[in-house]
Amino acid sequence: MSAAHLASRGEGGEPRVEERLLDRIGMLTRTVHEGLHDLRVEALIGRAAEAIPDARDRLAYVSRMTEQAAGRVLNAVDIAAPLQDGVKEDAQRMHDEWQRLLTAPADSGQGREAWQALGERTVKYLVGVGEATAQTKAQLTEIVLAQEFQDLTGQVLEKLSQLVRGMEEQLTELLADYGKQPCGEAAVAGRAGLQGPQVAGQPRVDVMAGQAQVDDLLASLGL
Amino acid sequence: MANNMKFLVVDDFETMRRVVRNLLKELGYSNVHEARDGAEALEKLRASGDFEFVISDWNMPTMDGMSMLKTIRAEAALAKLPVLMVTAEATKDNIITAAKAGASGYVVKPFTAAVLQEKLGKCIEKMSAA
Repeated sequence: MSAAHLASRGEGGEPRVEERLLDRIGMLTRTVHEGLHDLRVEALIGRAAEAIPDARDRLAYVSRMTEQAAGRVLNAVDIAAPLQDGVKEDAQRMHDEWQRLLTAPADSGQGREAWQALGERTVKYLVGVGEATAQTKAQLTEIVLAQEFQDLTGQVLEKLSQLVRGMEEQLTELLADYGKQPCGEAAVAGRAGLQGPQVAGQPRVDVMAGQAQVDDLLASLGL
Repeated sequence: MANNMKFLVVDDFETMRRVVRNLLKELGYSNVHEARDGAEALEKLRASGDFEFVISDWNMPTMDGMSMLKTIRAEAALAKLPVLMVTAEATKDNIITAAKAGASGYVVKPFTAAVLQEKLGKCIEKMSAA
């Protein structure tokens, strides 16, 4: 209590009217201040919380699009791979047949009919190769088109990144208001269990940089 | 090269199961079955009894790959089954845990066809040597 405050007291230690008024104003000011502060806190948390469902929807979209794209690519490969196997096997067979005919002794009785028959089979094979390659090409185009997700998810992820940055700023502001330091290190230290894939950012010392390091560690463990 | 070795691919993502299945087919293995998590894998392993190789993810719902591996090693009928872990988990602790639990090999995602082939080859070599 200040000297001026003490001086304003009456003889019997009872606060004077002015004193009580000042106290009252002080209390009101504090209430208003705290109320405003609470409002600000609520607004900041509110804005951060509102962003969460939006972020969740965007993440779900990315997950859906990437899964669809992977499905399209794998389906295309499932169609194209047997076509390629077919062309390869038929080519081998044609090769063997030609080799046999060309190396047959002149007196083996492989007459004009044999050449004619193989010629016809060869023409048929060539038509088949044309068809199979056209179909394979169509699947390659499908694989190219399946990559369009990258453009869409890229945009969505960029937006999401902005959203997260905004949330981070609001929460950091909040922590600053309460005089606390953001607890980045504590969050990192608190991670436990399965981490999933390593992403860019702060590399962790206990994380293997690649298969070669994993192999070295396994070898040191006798595996 | 056709080989009838019976595989079980365990992963909660269909895409990953298809990728591994395709790679195995490229390597000549076409007898490939799939399970979505450790629990389903154990069911299939116990029911058929003739699986020869398991390729498993770690992080999966219901039952993860590590619990599945430990269960396999603890069950007399399955204990000798080779289990190749193919996972995104790559901390030193993860790998030590897997080695102690009896993993036959450890491949970190993302991986290449060559890496899978090499590890698979090593496991199969060990099997035939044993």
